Amino acid sequence: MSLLVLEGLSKQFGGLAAVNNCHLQVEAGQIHALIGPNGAGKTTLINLISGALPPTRGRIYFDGQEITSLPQHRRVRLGLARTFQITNLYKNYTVLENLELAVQARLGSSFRFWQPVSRERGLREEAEKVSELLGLSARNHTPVAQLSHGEQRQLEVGLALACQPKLLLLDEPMAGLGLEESERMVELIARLGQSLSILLIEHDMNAVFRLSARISVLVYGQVIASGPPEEIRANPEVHKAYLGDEGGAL
Amino acid sequence: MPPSLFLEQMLNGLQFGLMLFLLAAGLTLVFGIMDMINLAHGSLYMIGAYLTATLVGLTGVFWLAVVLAVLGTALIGMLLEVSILRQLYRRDHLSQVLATFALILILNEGVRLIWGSQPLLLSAPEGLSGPVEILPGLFYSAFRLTIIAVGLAVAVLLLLLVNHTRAGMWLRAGASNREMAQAMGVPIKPLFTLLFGVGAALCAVAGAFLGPILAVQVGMGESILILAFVVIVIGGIGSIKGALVGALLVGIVDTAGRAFLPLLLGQVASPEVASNLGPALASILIYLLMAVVLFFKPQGLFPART
Amino acid sequence: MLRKGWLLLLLGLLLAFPPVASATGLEFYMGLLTKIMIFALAASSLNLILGYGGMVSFGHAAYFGVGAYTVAILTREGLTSAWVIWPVALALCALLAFLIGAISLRTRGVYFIMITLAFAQMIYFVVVSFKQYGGEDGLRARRPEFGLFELNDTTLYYLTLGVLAACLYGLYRLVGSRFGRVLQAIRENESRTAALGYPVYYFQLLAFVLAGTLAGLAGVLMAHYTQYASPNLLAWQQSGHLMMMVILGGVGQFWGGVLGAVVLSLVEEVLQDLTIHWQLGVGVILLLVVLFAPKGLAGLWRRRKGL
Repeated sequence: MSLLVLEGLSKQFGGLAAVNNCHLQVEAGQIHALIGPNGAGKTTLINLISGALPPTRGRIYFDGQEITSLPQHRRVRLGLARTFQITNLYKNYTVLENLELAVQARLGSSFRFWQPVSRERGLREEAEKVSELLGLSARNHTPVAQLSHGEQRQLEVGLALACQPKLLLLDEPMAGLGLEESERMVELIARLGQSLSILLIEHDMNAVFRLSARISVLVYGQVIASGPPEEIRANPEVHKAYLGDEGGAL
Repeated sequence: MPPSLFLEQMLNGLQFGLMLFLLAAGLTLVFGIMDMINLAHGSLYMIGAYLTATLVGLTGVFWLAVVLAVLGTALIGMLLEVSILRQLYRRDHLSQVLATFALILILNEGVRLIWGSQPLLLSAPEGLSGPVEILPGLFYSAFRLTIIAVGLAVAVLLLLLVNHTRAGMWLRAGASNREMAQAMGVPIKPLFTLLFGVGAALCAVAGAFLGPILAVQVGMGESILILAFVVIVIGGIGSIKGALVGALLVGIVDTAGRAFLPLLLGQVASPEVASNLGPALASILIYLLMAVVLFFKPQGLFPART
Repeated sequence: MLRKGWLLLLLGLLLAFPPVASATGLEFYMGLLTKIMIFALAASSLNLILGYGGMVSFGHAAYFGVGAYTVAILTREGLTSAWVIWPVALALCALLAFLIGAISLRTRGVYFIMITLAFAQMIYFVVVSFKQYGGEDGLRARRPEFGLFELNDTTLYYLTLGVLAACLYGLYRLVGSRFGRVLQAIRENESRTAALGYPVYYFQLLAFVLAGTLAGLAGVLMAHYTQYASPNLLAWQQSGHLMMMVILGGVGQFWGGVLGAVVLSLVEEVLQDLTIHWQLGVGVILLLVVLFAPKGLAGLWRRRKGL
């Protein structure tokens, strides 16, 4: 069975259907990209999968288990971690403090009330490892607010990574990055893709076609096509949906 | 229960609800547009009542006193906005609660300094002090009827102002999206000052007309302020329509609860229990109402923000 | 955190105060100190949720008052053992905080402020409507028996000091623990904390219950101190009073609650001696603090030391 399966998933906001009867399968061990024009419901879909929002209809299966009504924290435990399109970090904390919080969520219970957390070597060491993987070691003790935008985007991925997920949900990791920073992010994602399953939402078509083994196209809350990059590139339906600027990028 | 008693209590509820609306309207706009919690709103109500009582004593003419008191309170409200409240818009709710709580202490003591601790006497104007027959056999206080008339008139005027004037359009735009309003070139600063003035004026109207019924004393602002907050939370913060519906709901539920709950309880429980529990239940009824509304609609009945 | 040496010195001075006070005829100040320590406990409990948890509860007086009223009602009903009264009072406050928190924490922002206020108002009105328990006049609260010692002004002073020191140490460990770190993380960024896999609601609820219970404990001590349970303890102004202390001292600063309780109580005491319009002075001071020292006195202290 696929790692993640969405069956007829819908989300209504008032009268508006942001996600409408969406079917999707994400296989283990590969990078699966989800593309679509603005307002297609991509971020809403991430919110539904991660459990930040409840769906109006439909079912979600992860790793062979139905998770449709599981709360968000249980899903993270099962191995679903997400990043945010708009950088969402602990701005007043340092890089390491951010990562330690992510590590702590995974390692043992946080309902511990007595031992000082600052003396827990395990958390610190593991946070340092993730920071190294991100290439942020030199910035370990810098407050997030003082990082560059590119570094913040990397840390955004790092926080999800520190949860050691089976499936990483990346919501536009390249958003707002310059050329050089984008390149670094593509490298990072490619490296992560060797050992992790990733569902990648991205507008940068160049990156999408370089990185992904499979691409799904979301339009008006529905998946209109799903397949390997060459197939998607050749699909006339997809071209129609992408008329205009972004169509040229395909 | 005789129908006349029921009708009378409903009218009382309507009258109280309308006065609550006057308080809640200013509060909800300030709250909705500036995201500002102003606990000192109730103090303006108190100031309005004190000014009215004093001016009645000076001029001897109730209506003239009301007009002057309303103008005076509006001026005080605008002064407060310009001098202190303006600096709080960008602060968090906690700071706003604390700063305006401090203002309550200051204004309460200020009133005590000027007028003393004894409640002031403010009586209804002479011609309106008696009852009138509104239906065959049903007598109702002429003054309370006047309050209903004034309340309705002001409510209609306010709704017209908010829905059909340019300033009103700006206000509604500000309530639903402040950045957008600013981008559209709405003159925010003077508009806010004016809004505070109008809010204060409405408080003064409520103070002037509730003064003869309740009591003109220090602390009168706080008890009614909490009711006004309950109103706007039920109605949905920033919504004038919500404030009106919420105010009438709270006014009628509160009045009817106090009048009928002890009676109803007396039917099913012993008199001792009823006399204890009745008033208790009646006074928590509106808070229950609010908790229930928030449980099902966490943004209130008519959410203004989209 | 203040240095250990200074803390021990302070504790020593506080321990040595009663004999000195009674030798020099300054018993009044022992009572004042007891009262200040009680408020320090109540304000510190509020600081846990308000400062560390970012939950602006405007109904903290409910637990404070219920703690005091439990003592008054139980002793009136003939119970005398503190070993029964204390656990009952604490359990009641914990239960109350659990129920109120479970509902209130479904809302956010202004709505949270208002719904906590609404619950506190409900409790206020229910309590004052019971005429047999004094109604609006309040109720006498006899001092219970501890068995080990007799509760008089001096032992109450030491008891309060002991309880305060123990609770502060517990809170100090708590805010530095895993739990405390998550609580602060929720305040900093709720959606991120949820996305990391923390059950935000349960962390907040647990902190809320803990804070309510500690406020109840402060209320119990208050009833022992004044030997009287007053509706004022339950009133919303009392909630504002506790918030004032926290803000004045420093929101989310460990010593904020204590510092605020000390300073505000002393200011009130001094102003009350000077004028019957003392609340005017309190209001002006508070307003100035909010406008010009947003991080409270602890913040000022830190700024001066360049931290």
